[in-house]
Amino acid sequence: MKKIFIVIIIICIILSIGCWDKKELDERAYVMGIGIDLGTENQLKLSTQVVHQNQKAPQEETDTNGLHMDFVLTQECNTLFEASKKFMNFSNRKLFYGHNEVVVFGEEFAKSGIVSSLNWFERQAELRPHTIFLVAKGEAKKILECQSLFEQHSARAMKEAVRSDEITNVVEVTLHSFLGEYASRGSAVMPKIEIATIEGKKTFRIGEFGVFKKDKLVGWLDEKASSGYLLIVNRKNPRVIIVPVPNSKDGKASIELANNNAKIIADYKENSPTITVEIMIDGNLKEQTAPVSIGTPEKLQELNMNFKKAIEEEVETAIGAAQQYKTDVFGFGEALHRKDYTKWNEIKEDWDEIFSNMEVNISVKTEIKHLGMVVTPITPK
Amino acid sequence: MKIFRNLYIHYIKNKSMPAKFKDNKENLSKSLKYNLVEIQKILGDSDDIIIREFKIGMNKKEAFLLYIDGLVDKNLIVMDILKPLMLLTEPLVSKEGSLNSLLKESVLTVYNLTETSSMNTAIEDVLSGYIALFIDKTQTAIIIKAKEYKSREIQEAETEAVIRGPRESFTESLRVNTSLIRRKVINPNLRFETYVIGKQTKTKVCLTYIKGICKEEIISEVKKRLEQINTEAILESGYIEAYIEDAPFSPFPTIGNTEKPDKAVGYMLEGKVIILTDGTPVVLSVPHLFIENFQNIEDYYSRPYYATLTRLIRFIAFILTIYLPGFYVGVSTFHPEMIPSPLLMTMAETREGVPFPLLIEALVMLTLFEILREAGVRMPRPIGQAVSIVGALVIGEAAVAAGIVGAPMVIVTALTAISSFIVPSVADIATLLRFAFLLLSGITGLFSLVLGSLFVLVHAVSLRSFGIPYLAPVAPFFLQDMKDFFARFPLWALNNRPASLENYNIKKQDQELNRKRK
Repeated sequence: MKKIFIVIIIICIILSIGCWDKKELDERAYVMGIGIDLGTENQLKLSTQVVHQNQKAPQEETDTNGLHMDFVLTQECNTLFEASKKFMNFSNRKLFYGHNEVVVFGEEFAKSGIVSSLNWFERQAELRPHTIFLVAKGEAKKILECQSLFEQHSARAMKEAVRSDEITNVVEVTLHSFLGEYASRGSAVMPKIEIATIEGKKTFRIGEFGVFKKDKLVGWLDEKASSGYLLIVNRKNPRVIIVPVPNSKDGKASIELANNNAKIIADYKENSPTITVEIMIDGNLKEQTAPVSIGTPEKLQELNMNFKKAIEEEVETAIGAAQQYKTDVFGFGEALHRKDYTKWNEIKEDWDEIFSNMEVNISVKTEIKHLGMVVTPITPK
Repeated sequence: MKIFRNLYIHYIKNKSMPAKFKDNKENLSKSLKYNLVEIQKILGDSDDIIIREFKIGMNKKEAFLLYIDGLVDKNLIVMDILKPLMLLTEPLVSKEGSLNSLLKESVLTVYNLTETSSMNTAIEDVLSGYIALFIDKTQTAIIIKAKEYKSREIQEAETEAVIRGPRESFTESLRVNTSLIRRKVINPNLRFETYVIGKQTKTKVCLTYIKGICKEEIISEVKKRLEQINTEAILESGYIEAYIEDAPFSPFPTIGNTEKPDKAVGYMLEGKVIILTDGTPVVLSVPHLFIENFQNIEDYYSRPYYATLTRLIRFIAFILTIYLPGFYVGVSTFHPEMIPSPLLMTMAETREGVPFPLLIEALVMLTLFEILREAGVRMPRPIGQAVSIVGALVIGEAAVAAGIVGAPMVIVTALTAISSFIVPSVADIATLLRFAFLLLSGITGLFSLVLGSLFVLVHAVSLRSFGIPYLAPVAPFFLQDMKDFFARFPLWALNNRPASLENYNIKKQDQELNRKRK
């Protein structure tokens, strides 16, 4: 008897809960990308790229590709959460951030410091800690409005462009990693995204880095500096170095980087810190524009020397740019900390100044490993 | 309130009341005429009850045969009963005792007979298909045990189809079934013990086991429960199952069944008891563990790698068929962040414009599937299959095109349905659990799905089948039984009988010898 009672009570409890928290798939609006800009009167402007999932959309809303366009909704408010709540006046579907792929910070907003926005990302449960961060050259809203060349949802294309190991030349910065670097080192880089046109189509381009000091954007690294940065922090660098071909007037050789390995050696000489960066790189010769044979060891050695000089130049550009911005993005401070904790503590406060005036020794070792399928290109007799 | 209480009391009563055998020793009288009149009074006027009056031998002693037309071997009656009796040339001694013994020992050339002095026994035996011989001035009747009736031949088992292995299945005749088992196990320790159960049907139920392998407590427990059955009719082994099973309220069956003799013998060699029932080809096996639903007898005829693969597929299919609808509904409705983004976009697109919530869709599709399946089984063979297939495809397609259900739902239902056919023995458990998990998951998402699974798991772990824990060898853990659990180790490595069944004589083959031969 008691058992039956208990079963009935349990059933009643379950039925009285109802379908709490139930939302059908078509009652949600899925946000793919978030963009944050500075709005009027110091307000924050939140842009969300929302998936257009209605199958029966009218034809005018498609662009020339025939794809349905995802649309960008923007609201301004003092805080981001408030802005996100304002969307509910416009739609019958609740915005769902669980599938958000990227967060794009507008240039102006980044220059003024992004820390005011990070808290909403940290607190809310829906946003994933591995959301990709990007800093836009220009306005974040315009970036979100761009169409991708291949994908239907441009935010996903942005994420995959950053994530893919083979085609990317940037470092993946996520909420998780950015918070870590912000808390510990106080300086970070973030991949740059900008609007570019290719064949008349307006799309986005993800390229070099923006340098963040604490939480403010202080400058950009150009192509060479970004490549040097990747070398110093020991990341995969799919760069192509152009060097002059020996024994030829204006032949150019393209060498692809592979297997780069970097070591940062910190030392204190007479109580002042020194850094030595040791880089070992292998290069693969992919192409040369002049059909000159480079089969002999001397010619290879000369090519290698040119290669080495080019690499040194890149690393120097990177360090120079960082020193110009007075931001140690490479982790030299950490190396010094590891080397001698007490001495590091003395110079910790003035590290930015010390870093910007410091002489960094660069030692590069290169080797050209693979030459491809031919040693002597075919030439007419 | 009272209804529940009365049901409960009724159940308790039926369980513990001992069966009373009416052993009315109403004796036969010496007068043949009196016996004849008595029999006609009891049996009435049925057309198939034959009373063949004749005179024995030279003395022309009056006698009659009582038998049921259609149940007896007519040839035997003519050649071995009537002929020797009617043409008896020896003089008869008129004393009772010696006449019958003379007939039994020297005249009636039949292979099996007894004597009885009870009217009830004689009539019951005649109704079972034996022939009763009543002789004037004799107070005992001779019962000649020669049954012959038309029954189904040994055919292929329809519910347990195999690709490789014997195709024979049990038939409705108890004697044929026992002979099938005898042919497979040539061991003097093979025992058959027969019980007669059911007041009206008086069905013969035969207990089979191999003494020395099977645990004695199991045998005595089964005997005790069979003796306690107090019912009117045993038409099928399912009736016996209902009366002797351990947990009548549980969805999990604790008594297994099979139609194939090789499977039954395999069970007996592991230490189980088989219960044969006259009138049905389905035999029961006790004790029955959950893992046996997934161990197909065909596994042991194939090579180990493929057998292991199919066993794994069966496990996966079981999990799939129970959890897939519930998981799909729960994740889509409550946890869309778990779905990968590209899939989610496609699924969301298909949900546009569909009127019903996912839970309702899922319930409708599953119910529809059950209806189609049942209809396909009951329909006559040629149209049955066509209608099932056509029904499924057409209804699915049309429903999607009309926008009543979403396309993923049709796929989920199809996958669930097909998975449920891979392990047919758990089809009923699977259906119940599937619906339960679907409802749970539609209410509070994966949280209640997991809670429900926990509930079912705790219940299954607590079950016992005739003293053996239901989820052995997983809980409690028997390491040596693991050789036959997920993977099926090669036969030369399976040296011992399952330890979970607590049988004697656990070693069945010598691995040393097998290894030396390799």
